[in-house]
Amino acid sequence: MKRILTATAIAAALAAGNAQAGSTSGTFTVNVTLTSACTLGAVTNVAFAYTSLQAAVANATGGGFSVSCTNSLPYTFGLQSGNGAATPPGAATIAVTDNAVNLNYSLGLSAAGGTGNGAAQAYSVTGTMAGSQSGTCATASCTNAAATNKIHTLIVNY
Amino acid sequence: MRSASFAPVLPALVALLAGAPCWAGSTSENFTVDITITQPGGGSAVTPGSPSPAQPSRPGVCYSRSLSEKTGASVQVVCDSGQFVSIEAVPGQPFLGVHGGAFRYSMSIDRDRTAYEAAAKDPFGWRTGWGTVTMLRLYDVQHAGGPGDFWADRPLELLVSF
Repeated sequence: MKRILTATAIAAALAAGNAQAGSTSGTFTVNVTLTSACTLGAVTNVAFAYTSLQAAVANATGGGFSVSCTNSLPYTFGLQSGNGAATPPGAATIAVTDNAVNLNYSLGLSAAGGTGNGAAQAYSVTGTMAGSQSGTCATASCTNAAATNKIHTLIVNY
Repeated sequence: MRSASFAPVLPALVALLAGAPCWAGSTSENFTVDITITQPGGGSAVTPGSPSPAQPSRPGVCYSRSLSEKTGASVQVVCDSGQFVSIEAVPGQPFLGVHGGAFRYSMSIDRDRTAYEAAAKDPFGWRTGWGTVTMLRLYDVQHAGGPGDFWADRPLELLVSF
């Protein structure tokens, strides 16, 4: 009886074992090409409220925007007057005379640039308007709605 | 021999490449600058001309004191905006013979009162003009006012630029 049980166990072990005679292996490489990029969100309007001949410098409000760049990718900002085709890298600041209300202002940026982290990073276009400017306005209050040079361009270089 | 001819060019080429932008790309967005300009006190927009050093500059006021001590002078005050200039006394300074409020002025050296009155009634007469001056000084030390004196006889000249 004992001999019969032993033979059965050996047969079961053979049936469960690897029947391959041998093996060999090779390696392979996965090539990934990552093209770095930045995306630029819409820039909120830059707004000035100015009283003719006011003594103090007027600072603009608005101008916020966000940029999302590839992680570790450095980038810089540039500004360009007008809304023509962007010609990178742009300037750090631009000076403009609004052709509707005849007020001079300059635009800059809250930072020269940064390094991408894969997420949206917030910045802003800054604006200043010197004091003691008259401007042109035939009524109690005017806007530059009719200005043809009120649109400008923000450039992200990466 | 051929490579030697390029030798002077290579450093410049290398320098050019080194100075070239190394940006991989760029993206851009347009944005708008909105401006709202308000007149000081709701008045007219003007640019100060020559502010008196003794007087603080006031918004909306042009100053011209260069001829203020002379008689028989012609003073022209023009603001950059081309809008009207108020003529008034400098605060704290003597100011004689003031007219107030909107007015029509008449300048004449013609002693013929009939001619003066005719011109004064004609809003388009050459001796009359329309203005919104709030204050105006007519002052001539050589013809000080007195009983029987007719101010229109005084040789004054006022040039106001609108």
